[in-house]
Amino acid sequence: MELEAKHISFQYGSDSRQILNDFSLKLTQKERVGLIAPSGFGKTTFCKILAGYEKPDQGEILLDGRPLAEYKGYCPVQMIWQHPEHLVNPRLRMREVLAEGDHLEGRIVEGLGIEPDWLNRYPAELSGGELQRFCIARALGERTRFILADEISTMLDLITQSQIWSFLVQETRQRGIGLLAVSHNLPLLQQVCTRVEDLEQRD
Amino acid sequence: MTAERQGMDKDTMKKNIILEIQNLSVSFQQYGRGFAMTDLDVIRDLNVTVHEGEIVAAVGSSGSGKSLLAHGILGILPYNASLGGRILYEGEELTQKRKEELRGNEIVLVPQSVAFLDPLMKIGPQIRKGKKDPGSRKKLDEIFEGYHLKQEVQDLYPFELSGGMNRRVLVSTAMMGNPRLVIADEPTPGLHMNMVRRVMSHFRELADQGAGVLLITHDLEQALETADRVVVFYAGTTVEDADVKDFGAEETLRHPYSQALWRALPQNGFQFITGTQPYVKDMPKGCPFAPRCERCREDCKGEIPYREIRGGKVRCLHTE
Repeated sequence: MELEAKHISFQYGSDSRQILNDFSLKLTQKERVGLIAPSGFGKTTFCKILAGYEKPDQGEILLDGRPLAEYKGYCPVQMIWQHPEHLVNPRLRMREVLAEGDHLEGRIVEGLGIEPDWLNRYPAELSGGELQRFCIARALGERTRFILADEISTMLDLITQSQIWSFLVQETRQRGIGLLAVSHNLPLLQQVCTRVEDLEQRD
Repeated sequence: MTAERQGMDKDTMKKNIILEIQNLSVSFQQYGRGFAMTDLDVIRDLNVTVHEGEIVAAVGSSGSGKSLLAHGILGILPYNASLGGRILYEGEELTQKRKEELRGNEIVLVPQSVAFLDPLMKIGPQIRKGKKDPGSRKKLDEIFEGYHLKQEVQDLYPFELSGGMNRRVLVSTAMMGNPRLVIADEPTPGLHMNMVRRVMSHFRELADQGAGVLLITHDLEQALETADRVVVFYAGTTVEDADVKDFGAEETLRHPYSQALWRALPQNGFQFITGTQPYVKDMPKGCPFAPRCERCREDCKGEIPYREIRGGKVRCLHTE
């Protein structure tokens, strides 16, 4: 499969700043692409558009040549966000948070180091690093084909960061899931990705 | 460990110690079933010293007790917390009364989130602490300009700010006065690298003017870029106190956990150790890192002294 962003332009409301301007990017299921871009480029917005959360003003998102919006049901493109504490329902136990995603193999929960005891807790009873493990697991459902990781380890300590990335790389490689990793940390992207697009150096 | 330096003439010391924290502990009283109460020891044995003109980074993952340290120094722990050990400020015991006198003046906090601001007070007056004289106004205008905050921001309420603006406003609070001690609790997440550098250079300026800065962060890379010394936290304990230079190589570090952090840096191999930091409730006896440590032996279950090695300090029995 191939995920393609074609000539994407976007701004929030007509009186605000243009953030994405005719931006294109292509990635295949075999790739892990790193994206570095200057502040205000619209990296998070770009991920949201790629995952179908926002509609671009111009341009289109194609999955295997077909507009992403035409895919019904579970979205094969899943996004993982920077702040996990804002992305879990505070009133659900973690077991139910996981169930919001697609069918999940036990192997994934285990591989991410999620302790069985954590499943019975509420989000407020877990640390950021622990919550992020759940958010990653939730995004790795059976029908996921692409993962967009938007600064997913900025808030984590080094050891958790390394644990989580090593699992994600192994899992996406094994299942043939394409990965887009957004970060400002070049050494990290060089470790994780098969190719790095550095837009800070481009112009 | 008694503080003999209290009696010492300050001028004879090379650099004055502003803040000295000795074996600090924090425990929370919790209700169990019915009226049964239990004490939860969240922090045990924290040791941190900050000299004047120095930036000390306290580095640890979430749950290692970093924020509680800040709240303990300022006397803003919740009512069910109790504090053990000693905190000395300028050589004298920092009592609750003294904390209340000094905080906001000599000791300032750059808090972790805008939840620390008064939601019903506009940003400008809040940061100026109600002062309306031209000097204060001018100073705030200059600080805001330096952080690319428009003057209109002063007329907004905290909830009207974006994430990045929040951060910059919080940092501005510390720049307003002439603090002796700045405690910055995760001041930069969510900020762009250029802005992070700017914030850090302001901390450096404050330090150069003689203040001590305690930078609390989970980000070792940022700490290494900014600080003079790094104190490593693990599960509520300080495990190592090292010069920034010591992080240049694995061998110059002392504690196995600091060394594991070093190896986990992407540029140093991106290796990880398995497992997670233990919870307070199932904290092992003795060294908290023992279950994940390859150097762990039988004696690690006992008392571990904080000892000096190679110009730094470490809480480990099996390191030279």
